[in-house]
Amino acid sequence: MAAQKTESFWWLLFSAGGMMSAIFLPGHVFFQGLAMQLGWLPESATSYGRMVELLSHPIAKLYLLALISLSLFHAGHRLKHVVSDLGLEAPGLVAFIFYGVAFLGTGLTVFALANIG
Amino acid sequence: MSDKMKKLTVTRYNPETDSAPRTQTYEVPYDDDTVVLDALNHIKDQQDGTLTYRWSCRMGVCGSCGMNVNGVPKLTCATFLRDFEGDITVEPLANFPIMRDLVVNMSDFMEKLKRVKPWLIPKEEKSIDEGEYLQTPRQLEAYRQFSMCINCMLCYAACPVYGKHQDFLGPAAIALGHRYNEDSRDGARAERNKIIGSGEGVWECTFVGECSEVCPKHVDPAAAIQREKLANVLDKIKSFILPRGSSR
Ligand code: SF4
Ligand code: FES
Repeated sequence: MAAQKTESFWWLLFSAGGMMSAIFLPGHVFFQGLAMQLGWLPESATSYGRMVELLSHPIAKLYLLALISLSLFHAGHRLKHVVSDLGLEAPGLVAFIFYGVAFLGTGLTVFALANIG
Repeated sequence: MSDKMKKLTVTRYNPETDSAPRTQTYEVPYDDDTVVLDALNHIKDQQDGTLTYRWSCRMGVCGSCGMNVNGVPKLTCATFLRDFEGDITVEPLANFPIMRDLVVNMSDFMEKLKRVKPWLIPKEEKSIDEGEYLQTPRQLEAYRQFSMCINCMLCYAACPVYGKHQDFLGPAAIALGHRYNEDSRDGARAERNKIIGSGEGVWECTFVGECSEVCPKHVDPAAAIQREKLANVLDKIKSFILPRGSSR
């Protein structure tokens, strides 16, 4: 069975998402996940007000949207292939579920970002 | 040779008398220098002249002695018995039809190799008077690694996608196509792309990466496939933006 015609499009999202998440996610895990929680950063930099201010900027929103959405498509595409490598042959349904979740996540991100600031 | 002994369980299949492949166990003496191929040769010379397998160079160059050793595709001339704890199973390369004993039918691979046109197709033919096609060391480096392939087919035996979908062009053929695409003297990328960029080409790959794990020549066919994917997508984007004259 040959690959689907749309495969290259999904791969582009996968590959962009892989790049984005590899470069930027570790930083977020460190700063927001660790440094901020453990109080390593000054209060003024991490206060709620400061965060809202930061996230109100259109570039910050665009960045977060790209990071979250592309990472979701990256994961979706990877998982789609993992499922087929494990021997489950239902490409249509599997693609629908994983890409569906990525689309849903993208929609929710747009919604959340639009409501900030 | 020392008196250490090793048990080898080998796949046997004679299409004229067997309905399915079976196994046979032999015991061979070995020391630190004995490779699996030596053990098979010992069996053939001393114990059972009917055992059939391919080999030639005995030095990891010809690519003909590939077999699954304890389930992993290996060049048997470069796989030492001393590296295995217990008994050893030797099977024909996975994912290929067996012809006899350890010999597989490689027609599918040969046909796929031809399809990627693995030879130089210059943009413009030069006459002999015009001299050589020169290349800088850097231009050579762009494809050198991918030219190291010895067509041993270990990567096909390791690839689960090829195992499931025999129409997949497969690691070595794509790596070789990539080798010519990256060659500064070549101008036939668009032509090769018809097959490399198709649904049976790179897009069937799910990036398992086993091909590069087992490759004895460090060709890294998985990297070649990913690079061809990127080049392919960039081509598509370019032809979308500039509908004409898009291929580089
Ligand atoms: S890419 Fe490596 S494993 Fe595959 S045929 Fe060539 S040398 Fe063998
Ligand atoms: S016999 Fe030539 S590669 Fe092993």
